[in-house]
Amino acid sequence: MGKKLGMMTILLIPICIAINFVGGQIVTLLKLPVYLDVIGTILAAALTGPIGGAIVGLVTNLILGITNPVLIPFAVVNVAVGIVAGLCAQKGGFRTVKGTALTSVAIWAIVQITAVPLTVILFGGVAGGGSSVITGFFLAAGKGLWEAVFSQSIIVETVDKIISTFIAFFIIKRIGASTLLKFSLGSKYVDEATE
Amino acid sequence: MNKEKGIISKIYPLSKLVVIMVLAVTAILWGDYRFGYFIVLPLLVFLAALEGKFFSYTKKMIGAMIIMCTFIFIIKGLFDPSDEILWQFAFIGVKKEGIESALRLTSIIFSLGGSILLFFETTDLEDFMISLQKAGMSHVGSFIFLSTLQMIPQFAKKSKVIMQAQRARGIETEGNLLVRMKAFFPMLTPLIISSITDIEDKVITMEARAFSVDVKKTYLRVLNIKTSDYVIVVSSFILFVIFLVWRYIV
Repeated sequence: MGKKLGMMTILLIPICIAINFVGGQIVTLLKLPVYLDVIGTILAAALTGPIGGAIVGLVTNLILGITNPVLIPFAVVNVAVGIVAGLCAQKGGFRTVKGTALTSVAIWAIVQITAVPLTVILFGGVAGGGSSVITGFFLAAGKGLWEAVFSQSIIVETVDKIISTFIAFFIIKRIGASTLLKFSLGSKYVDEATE
Repeated sequence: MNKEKGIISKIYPLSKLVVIMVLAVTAILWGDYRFGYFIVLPLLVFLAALEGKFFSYTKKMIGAMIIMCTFIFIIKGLFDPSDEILWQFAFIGVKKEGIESALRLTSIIFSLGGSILLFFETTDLEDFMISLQKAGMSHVGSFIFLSTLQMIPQFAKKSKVIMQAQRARGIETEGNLLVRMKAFFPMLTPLIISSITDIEDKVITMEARAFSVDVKKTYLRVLNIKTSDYVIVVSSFILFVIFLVWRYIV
């Protein structure tokens, strides 16, 4: 495992997991109406590819699970975000604003595809506190359970995932070329910076 | 590290994990909420009390799961498609089948989540990682896990310092939504960039200690498997087989 990943990746992973946590904490400090808790996953995926992203996603939710085991199944969503972001990054998804926009749509789509069935099948449509109120609202308006959870997810996740992807994009732009080059996908971002 | 360990903390982490998995799988297969609510839950709380962690355990349990489970009752109870009404308040009808399925679901959540919480409440994470490594996990895995746990509080502290520094140079962190949105980026980026730049130094330090050299690693801590640990694993398997026979064959 160590040889395959490379030391830079191994050391980037804990940092990105911590970014996932701190992103959420800063959001609470600033009282923003979003989560922004996958920035680290996306960043790791953009710099090192799908495997790094997936590991960050998995360990983030496992550690969250130590204090709140309900979140462990949602590791699937976080891992999927890492893999999709990593695949997009390999295709050069984070090089331009346009590419980042497309990547954010892909990430958003995979979140819908994975999170909605998980919420409905495992937890009967309930995910966390606040967003369940929205689900309840749609149910009260006469929608079916799947439709209600899906509508809730679209409302809550869309802006969140787009902003997260763009934050990762802007952070990569700020990292110095000499550091970037040491990551496996780093050279993709350096070419453009020097041109 | 020298502090007196409770009875459950002394059990080898992997044996404990086996017991918890067996308990969780049983709760799911049984499918009767009474097993979860009247057997598993009291058992877990009893074990926590035995460990002297009754209050911190129940507090964590409530904090992690109560909101979620309340919402499950509300959503299942009110919006279940079945017709049989259990209670009726004015125009709100609570459905019988909804409440039953909510009871089943929440009992599984409580048994599963409660067991996992108890596991981490009574297990030293370093011991857990050592036991996983002895069972064949790569040392990279335990490095990632343990160094993350170190890094999160460090990051939280650093981000507060950065917030104050950014405020000092005039960034608004209070005000309308747009103002607060704009403050997010300057708070996160210095933290990330500085940590990523630090990686190179860490790589050199760790390579100097032969982190990625492919040899057998030594442990700073000794973790012994006792006979009682085997007994626990074997007896929980026997109980599980008895349960399977009782549930599906008899």
